[in-house]
Amino acid sequence: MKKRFDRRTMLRGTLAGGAVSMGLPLLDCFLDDNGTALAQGAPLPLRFGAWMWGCGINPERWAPTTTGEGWELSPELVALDRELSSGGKVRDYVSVLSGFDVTLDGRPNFPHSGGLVTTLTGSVPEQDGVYVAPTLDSVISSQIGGVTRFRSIEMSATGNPNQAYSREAQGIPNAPELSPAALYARVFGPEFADPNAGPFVPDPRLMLRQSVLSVVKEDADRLLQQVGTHDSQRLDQYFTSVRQLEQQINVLLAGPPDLEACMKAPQPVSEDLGTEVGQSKLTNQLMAELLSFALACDQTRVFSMMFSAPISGLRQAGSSSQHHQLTHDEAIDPDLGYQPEATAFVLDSMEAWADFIERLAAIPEGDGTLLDNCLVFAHSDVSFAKVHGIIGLPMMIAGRAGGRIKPGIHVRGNAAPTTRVGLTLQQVMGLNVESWGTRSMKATLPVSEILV
Amino acid sequence: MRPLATGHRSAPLAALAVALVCGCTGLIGSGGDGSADDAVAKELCVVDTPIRRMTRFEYNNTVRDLLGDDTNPADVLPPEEEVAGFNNQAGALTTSDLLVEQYANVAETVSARAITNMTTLMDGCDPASQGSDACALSFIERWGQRAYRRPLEQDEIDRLKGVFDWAVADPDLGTFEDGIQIVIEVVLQSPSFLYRPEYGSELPVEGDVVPFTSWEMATKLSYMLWNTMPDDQLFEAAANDALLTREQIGAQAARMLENDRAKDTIRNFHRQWLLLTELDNVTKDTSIYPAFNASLRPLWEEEIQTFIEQVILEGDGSLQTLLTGDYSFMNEELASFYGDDVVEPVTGTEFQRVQLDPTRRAGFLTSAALMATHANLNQSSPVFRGKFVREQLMCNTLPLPPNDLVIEPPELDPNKTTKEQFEEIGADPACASCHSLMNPIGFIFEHYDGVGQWRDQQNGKDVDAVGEVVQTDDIDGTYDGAIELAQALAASTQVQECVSSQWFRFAYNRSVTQLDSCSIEQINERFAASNFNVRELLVALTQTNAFLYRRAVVAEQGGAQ
Repeated sequence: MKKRFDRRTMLRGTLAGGAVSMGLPLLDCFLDDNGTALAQGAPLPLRFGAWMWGCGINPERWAPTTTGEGWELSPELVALDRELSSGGKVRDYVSVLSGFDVTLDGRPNFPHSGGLVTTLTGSVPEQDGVYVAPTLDSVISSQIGGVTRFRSIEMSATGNPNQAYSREAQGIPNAPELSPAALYARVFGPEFADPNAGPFVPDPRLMLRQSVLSVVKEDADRLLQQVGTHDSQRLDQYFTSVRQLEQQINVLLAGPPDLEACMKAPQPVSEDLGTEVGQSKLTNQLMAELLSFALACDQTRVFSMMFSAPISGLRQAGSSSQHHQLTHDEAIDPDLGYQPEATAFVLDSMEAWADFIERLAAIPEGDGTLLDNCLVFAHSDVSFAKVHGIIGLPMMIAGRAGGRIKPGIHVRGNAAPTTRVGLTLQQVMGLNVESWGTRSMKATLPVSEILV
Repeated sequence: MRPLATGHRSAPLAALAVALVCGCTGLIGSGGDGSADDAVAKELCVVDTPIRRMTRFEYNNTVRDLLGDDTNPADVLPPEEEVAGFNNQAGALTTSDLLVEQYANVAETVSARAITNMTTLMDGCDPASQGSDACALSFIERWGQRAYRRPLEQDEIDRLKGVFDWAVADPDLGTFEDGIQIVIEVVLQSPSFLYRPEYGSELPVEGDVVPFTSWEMATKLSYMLWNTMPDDQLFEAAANDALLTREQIGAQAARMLENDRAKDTIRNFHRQWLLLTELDNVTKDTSIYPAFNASLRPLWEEEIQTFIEQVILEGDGSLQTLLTGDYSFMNEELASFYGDDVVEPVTGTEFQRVQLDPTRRAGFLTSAALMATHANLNQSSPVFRGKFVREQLMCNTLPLPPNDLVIEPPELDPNKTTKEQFEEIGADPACASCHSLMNPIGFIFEHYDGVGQWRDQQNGKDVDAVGEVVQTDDIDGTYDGAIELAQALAASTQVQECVSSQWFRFAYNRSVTQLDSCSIEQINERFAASNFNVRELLVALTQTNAFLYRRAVVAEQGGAQ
């Protein structure tokens, strides 16, 4: 409660009359005369995102037949042939990474989690669903997430609340946002500092929350000192999130972001949550749109989206046959050479991925688009789902990462570990890491073909 | 001062893990906080549970009882991770940024609603006549004690009074109500409210093993048996330090099971144990099952839950009746779905007790809720039904199908029964080693079609509901129909011990560990002595050393920041 006096002063000022007259040193240093944050001349932020779909692909139909630039469009990547309004096609911004493997070193291939956990954490799990290290997005957000309002934003289009994609150390799940309306309220609710809404007036409730949180924190701290070691680790998670909530308020009170591309997102059209593939695609689109505005306003620099779960519960409208079940149950059509119903979901997934990328490319930023300043990693949990294949785990990278990578290239991994991609992503994001992963999954070389 | 624990006797971990020949593992998790090398704790079977955060269900119940807020405000929070079959496992109740953000939002809305009813909150104190400070302080001490489930320390009172003063002194907030609201808002986000810290009393019973304080015990009992905060009687017992002996604790437990709040817990447990959460996703091919419509699902769930609740809380409480009872609860619509199986007329929309044909229905096992869930879209599923019995009732863990196995469920064949089709598939040696554990149990349920309606014939052939049960502890044999099987399951030690281990995990919010053997044995003995009365099982769960004691806390020095 040391700052009680300050907050009260601020509160009185804001609640009494519209315009702010604040004499607070804390805010003075953030604000110029117009009440906007001083950030001119700073480089545009670099963002990292992860996007996954469940139950893989048909390797022969998914991987392009040619490598390098201008790769030959494969049957399961046709969705990427879409034109972008900003020029070019989605595929021009997407590199395809085929033929990178997960090697288990004799550990069991836990169906739908072995390859996923290994690719995201660098280590093969010893027990089903046990993450020994945080996922890539958490590794990156722990390095670059501290300056923005949200350390990261997790999203899920699965319609299933029991699926977490992003994990902290010890496998602690970062709960995802499931509903576009909830995501909108969270980012663009009344406390959002809108740069286009006239003079900045901090939402008085923020200061109230600040006061509440400072007492909550004192309470938490008191408890932390009393409980045993293990319990204090658990309480510390709570404490850390409370501090993150304070950080959010501090950023909001510092005024609207000074970014040319920043605009308050429009309210999403009515959502339709569920496990039908059309519902998941709509959720993915709506969330991508909200995210693109959030990124343009630098509300976060790290995000993740689970389009469908590893054991994908997607189904076609009116059908109860789930994607995952079909990958195991459906016969391979002898004429086609693949499972038609299960494969329809692969095509849907690639369309959803194209939707997501297209949306990021729709926001002009600097001399290009938002996508130019993003690094988005897409992948699945398996290659051929029928046998839980983890050889040739399908991966893609979209965006230019602020000019640090070359997009639109097909790289064949030739059985290199999938962790080479994870290492590359960390290095591109500026993390000081020379190798990543353990045992056979230890990677020391980045995917140099895509580096500038 | 209090009777010490019965000594440790080595007990076989009968209920823990039943390895089947096709390679299964049991559900042994790591337990509490203590290091395993402490001889006294080991000797006494004392296992600490990690600090527990409330589930959404418990949060909803708690604000209902604390503030009269019955809007289920916690429904918007991220769901719990399910571990070992339950969503209330302490180790999995972690936090995330999103959760803590939403706790803040929920606290804002709940506290705003709460102050619309100041008269109740103030409990007779009138700020106008008695003074704002006096009423605020009395509210903080009285209500705060209920919220934190223990008397507040002076520094806590000071902090809450400080935030109250801050709000009241501000001319733009300024009202007494504003001050009370912000106090409530703080308390609802305090870890003292959201978590259940337990330290135990200062006086060890032996070594570093300490009993819980009466305040802690009131909270333990209440969240275990009611999934909510203590009531006035528990608080009174805590204030009188009257929750110390086994007798005092057992007597409270017995009283609590007479209270309606126990229904919440009974339903919560069975929703998870019997996988009733899956009912929401049940759909059927109505060209094959014209009787099906989605409005049946809530009726099915209400039927099985009402039956279980009535047996346990109002009836004889026995596992035998749960598995074999020849009655149920339904309304007219549901009774007409069951047709001839209901042997008395039922009218109206209210659920009522009905007599069932005892040759066709037995307890919850043959209910439509279970039979329809564990079935396919267009046919029954001997595999799913067998798996359900194995995993949920016998506590076996079945392995997943091998990676390289291509599984094709049979197309509907109008000339064969489901059993005939699954027998052909199950004969494949690649499948047989595991499916021989499931399919024959499923065959025993073949009189119940894909929606759970009785059938004597399928595709013009008589239904053959004979199946052989193998690789069990004590019910190997051939059974004709689910009535026979239900009788056998009810008499099976393996099933009885499975039920008690399921309750153990749910009630103690953690997996069973090696050190729990004497507690498990004690619970099982008492369950058996009561002729497998679930009410007695619940009371027995309050009598173990694992429930009564913990290890003294070695506090982390320094805290955060």
